[in-house]
Amino acid sequence: MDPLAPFEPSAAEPWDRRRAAHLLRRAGFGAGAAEVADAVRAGPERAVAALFEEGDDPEHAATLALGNAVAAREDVADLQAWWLLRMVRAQRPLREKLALFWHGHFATSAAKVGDLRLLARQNRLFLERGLGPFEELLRGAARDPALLLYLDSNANRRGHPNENFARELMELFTLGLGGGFGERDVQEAARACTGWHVRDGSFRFDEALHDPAPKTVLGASGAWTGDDVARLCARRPECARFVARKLFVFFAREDPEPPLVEALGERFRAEGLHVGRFLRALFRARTFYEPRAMGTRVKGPVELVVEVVRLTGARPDFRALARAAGAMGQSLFQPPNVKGWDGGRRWLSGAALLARLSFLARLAEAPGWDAPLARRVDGAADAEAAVDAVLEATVDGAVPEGARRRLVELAGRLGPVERARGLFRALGALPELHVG
Amino acid sequence: MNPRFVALALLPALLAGAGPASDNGEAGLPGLVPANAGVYFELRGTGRLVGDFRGSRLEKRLLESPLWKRFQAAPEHDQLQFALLWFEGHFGQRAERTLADAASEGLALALRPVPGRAQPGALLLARGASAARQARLIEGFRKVGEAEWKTTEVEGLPVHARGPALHVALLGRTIALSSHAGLLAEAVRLHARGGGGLSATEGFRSAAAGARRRGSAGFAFLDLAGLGARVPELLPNPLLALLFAEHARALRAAPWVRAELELTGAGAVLQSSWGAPAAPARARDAIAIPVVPRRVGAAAVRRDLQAFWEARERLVPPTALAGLAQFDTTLSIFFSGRPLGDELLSELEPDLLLVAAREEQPAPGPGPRLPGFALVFRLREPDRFGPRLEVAFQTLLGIINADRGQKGLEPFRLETTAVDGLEVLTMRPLAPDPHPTLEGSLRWSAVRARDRFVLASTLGLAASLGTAFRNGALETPGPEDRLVLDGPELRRALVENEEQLVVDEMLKKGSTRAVAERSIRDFLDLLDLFAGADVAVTPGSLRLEVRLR
Amino acid sequence: MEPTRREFLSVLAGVPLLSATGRAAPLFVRMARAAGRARAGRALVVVRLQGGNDGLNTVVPFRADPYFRLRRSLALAPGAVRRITDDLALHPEMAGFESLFKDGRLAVVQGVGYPGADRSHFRSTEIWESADVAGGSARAGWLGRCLCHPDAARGSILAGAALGTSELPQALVADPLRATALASLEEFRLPAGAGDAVRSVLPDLAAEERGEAGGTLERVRETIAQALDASARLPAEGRETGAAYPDLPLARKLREVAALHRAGLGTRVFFVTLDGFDTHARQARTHALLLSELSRSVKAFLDDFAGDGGGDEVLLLTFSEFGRRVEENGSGGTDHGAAAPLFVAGGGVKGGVHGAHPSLDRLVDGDLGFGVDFRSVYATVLRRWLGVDPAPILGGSFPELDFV
Repeated sequence: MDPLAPFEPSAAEPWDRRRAAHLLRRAGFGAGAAEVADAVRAGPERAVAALFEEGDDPEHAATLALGNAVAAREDVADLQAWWLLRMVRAQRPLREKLALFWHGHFATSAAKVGDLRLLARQNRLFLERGLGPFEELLRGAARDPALLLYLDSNANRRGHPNENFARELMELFTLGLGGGFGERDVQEAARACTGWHVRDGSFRFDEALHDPAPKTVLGASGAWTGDDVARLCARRPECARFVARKLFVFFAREDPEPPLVEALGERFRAEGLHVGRFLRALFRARTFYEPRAMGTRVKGPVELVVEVVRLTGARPDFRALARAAGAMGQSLFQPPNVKGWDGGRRWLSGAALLARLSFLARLAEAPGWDAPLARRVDGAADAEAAVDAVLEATVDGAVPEGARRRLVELAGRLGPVERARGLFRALGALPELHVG
Repeated sequence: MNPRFVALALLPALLAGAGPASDNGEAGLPGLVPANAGVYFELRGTGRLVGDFRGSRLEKRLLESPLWKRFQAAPEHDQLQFALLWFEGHFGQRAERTLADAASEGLALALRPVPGRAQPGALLLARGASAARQARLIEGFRKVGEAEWKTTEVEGLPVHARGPALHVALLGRTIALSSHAGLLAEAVRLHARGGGGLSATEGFRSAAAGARRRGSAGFAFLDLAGLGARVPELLPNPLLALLFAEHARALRAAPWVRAELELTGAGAVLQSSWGAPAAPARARDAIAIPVVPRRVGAAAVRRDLQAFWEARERLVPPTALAGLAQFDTTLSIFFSGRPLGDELLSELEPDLLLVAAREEQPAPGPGPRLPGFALVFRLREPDRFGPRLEVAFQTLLGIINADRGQKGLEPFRLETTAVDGLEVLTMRPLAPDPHPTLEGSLRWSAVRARDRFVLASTLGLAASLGTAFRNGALETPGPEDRLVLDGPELRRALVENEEQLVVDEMLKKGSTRAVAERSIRDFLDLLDLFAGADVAVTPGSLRLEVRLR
Repeated sequence: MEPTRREFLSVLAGVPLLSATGRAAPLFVRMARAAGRARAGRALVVVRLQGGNDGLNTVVPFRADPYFRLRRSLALAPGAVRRITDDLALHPEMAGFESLFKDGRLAVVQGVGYPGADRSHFRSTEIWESADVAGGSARAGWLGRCLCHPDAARGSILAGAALGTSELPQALVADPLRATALASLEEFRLPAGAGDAVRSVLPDLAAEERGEAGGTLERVRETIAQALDASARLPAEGRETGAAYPDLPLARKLREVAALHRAGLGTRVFFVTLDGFDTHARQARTHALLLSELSRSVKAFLDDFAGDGGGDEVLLLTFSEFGRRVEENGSGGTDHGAAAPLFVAGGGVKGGVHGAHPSLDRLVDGDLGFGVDFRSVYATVLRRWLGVDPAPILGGSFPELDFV
């Protein structure tokens, strides 16, 4: 039984709007009705292929190029806004979504690193290598100045090893807890990573501080350096399983069963740990379109914010958006700890949830609000049509009858001028908006 | 359509106005405005302005400006042309001509707050030379969307309304337009009675008294008492209190504010005063505002710091007092534990000066390029207190080094540079920072010249200010608070930061890069028209002069 | 290592409001609604005096010679201080506290500290907030651990709240996290612009059940319903309470505490901070302002509760990471010290002075020696006020005091 056997549309399970929207939402940041319709017409094979096409995106490139200028302002809120702007504007959002995933995986915080240029650089690393071979990404991450500073790699020197970097490399980035490594491996790996330093904001291998003696890491012996440790970890089957599982949880659903995880690991290995090819298979797979994978994932704050702004076409103050995402519990470039964000239900504590409602209300008051969605709602023939337009655009329309009726009443009471805003504010109370 | 461009294009027409606002037995424009309107603007006596504009420096610069050329190539330009063509077709004459006619003798706008609503009620009055032509104009507008207009009567005069927010009536030679039916009805009644309204109120009369005689281009009146405007007793932070407490007090006591606009060949002057006309300023020692190379702007105020410190509990809210106490504690580090009020502030004359000037070679790299800025104090006993300030500067260096040490950065060394016979103290890092931060690129410097002490963020600025004071190079002063801005230098400072401004636009408005770049270009080109601005403020008056290049 | 852990502590949001059983919570909500204004229950309010409060000038031994000898300029004049016992007096600016003491609503616990007094702000704060004197960093806080106890905050919608900050203090951190940091109550209110028409519709949109009990959608729906309910219970802005509070930052935070408490969300622990006590120079004026703020704010807060019969519902506890040195320094201030008194006020407190004043003659390294371990204070509050067993929370047994 191949867990990644492709989904074949049938009469009972057609390739319909619901599945196409699910794909576009998980592999990106949602899509408007027109794009969904295109994906339905294209069929699952072509729709997935389109996600991986590289095309010209001058606006995105122009924004990306401003990274250093933004970082030089020394305000993390600006850097956050810069990334959000890219996510909203990206024609092909899969790369940006993956960058978000890797940012949580290789968690690094501006609060400790300080120099925002380094974080911008790391962000670009995730964007460029995030969809390629995992080993290459890992090698880049293992030499990334921001990550090294965050994990105190400069303190790791011959004779005085600091295990932080080596431990997180194994425990959080490649193998996971219980992933076939022990304390000895961590210690030896730490020795291998001595001299793996950052000077003046650049990576520098300080040979004088490096411990050149042979080490035994994960059963292999040699005069290892940091690069070697990364390679050794990446080649383990546990790594394939660990990373494949994380990708599955982020893109498909939580709690994959152990046999499934085994199979995912095998597939990832078979694809040479190539993230893009693995995801392509995942997006094509039956598993991806099972009922328990659709509509069962709580959208993280950044995902919610970006989706909503893309859908409405609003042009708000992006720094305020970044603050709103922070209030909801996800402050970009400032993960709470080295494990990144836990996600899932953890996104929904009381204050964070009210922050979501607050965000939607404030967005409805932002300039540039009179955008495609609002126009469609204003132009709707009556309250019913207005509600349908809003729901169809934002929550796949599958809302219980009672709730829908209350929205229609609300639209009727507010009248044609105010209803777009009012409906939008009310959306936050629909669980369907937060789950996708 | 970008409103900025529409305004620009219609500027000549809007300025058309002429002569006194009352003649031929008809009530002057303020006579048609209800007495409780809180805000009133009037453009008048500007007949000659149209002539002045044509062929003027402003027109020439505007037409030469890349801003205008870009506008002509922009889609908004075509839209505007289209709208103008439509207008000509509909009304039988060009828009500028029509509007100039309609307001040839005056244009006024009154605003009145409406309880419970954010938007105030507005009343617009346009007085032309011929009642018949005004009537034809109104008819022309009524033909647009004919079915939606409804006509009623007030005091026997027809009042036309379209929708809930547009009401029009012809009062003699004056077209009256309002967003509120009630407001228009009051204007109609005033017209029927031959005037009164705002012009008859005590406040307006005393405010307008001086203004008319000078035949200025525009006049504005704000009824503070009527609006119930409340100036807070305590300003939120100590700096604001220091700068504006006196002004706030004067405003609090004032029943109204008035302003007049005068257009000269070289620019415009706005004169404003509140309450009774300000007592003539007594001649005092001038506050010197030196000219230094690449100066972007300067601000000079006279504040008795010691008196302020002693009275701080009355001027500053209790929450800020704790902050001031901390400030006092911190400052004492610099001055061997001496109390701020008694011993330190008493050493300073009330003259305070802040100067900003562009750097000769701004720091490289993609970050914001800050101008250098400097604070200048005047000492009562320079020979005695000057050295103490120099020692305080050394203490500052020590603290900066302690902070840099914590961050693993190279420390600064104190250096003395001789410039033109002056000893300038400055800080230089032992080794250059490979990636300097904004803070790290500041080079605090200090110099004493005559009775002044200059603390600057760069060596160059300290040196040029020191030299300027030593040589006595001073601008013509006045006794008021003053702010001067040098147009071209300000523009250059912004141009040096063009990329950062674009980033700002993109992040704050979500614009695409192209749109943001264009916005900033337009703004910089507009700024290119100006030579500078000069603001002089006393408690009770303000004078703003803007000069064109 | 440390800074990474420091970040670990600055977690923003808490875990979902729901218990694992899912359905019980909405039932509570419905019951609470049916019962009208919920009985608010006991709450602990912790006020942190950040920076190291000079205890010697707060609770003044105005008859002791060493006090005047070692504090030539800082010693408070015996005529100016507010006497509360034969030997002790309060700082002249603490009229509110004097009044509370006379009413028997204020207890002073003297000489509170711990062995091996650490004089680093960061370290000592960690010790007080984690109740772990020996250990390394990265511990959960004593209040956080308390809230994990099933009896501590049964069925509450928001078990613990820190007001006036967006970073949760270590004291409230635990795994699972049951407390939230709120910069202000505004964060817990629906935005004002929502309008009545919209606001009234919101609960209905989350009222119908969505699919099976354990499903993500249904869980999210329950969370939304609870959050809307919690928010609805908050009094409208500006109408939190009828009582008069002074216009001071601490008073404003306490006012919000009062509002949250009355909203009946079952919050057991509140945490607010008053900063500025690190008076190394020119202490007199700064300290006076701070103590005045503390005294006036706390008095207003407790009077607010006494006013509507809820006086027994709240217990307020102050703490500071350390006291200050007995001898003044050369800048008219004092440096970091060790033991200091703390205050316990409010419902059911047994007023008066508890613990002995540290000896001024036999100083420990120039500092006051401690007589009461702060964990004894915690143990007393945990068992006698919050009703939980202190031993697992504090990692040991500590003799309890008798102030509550």
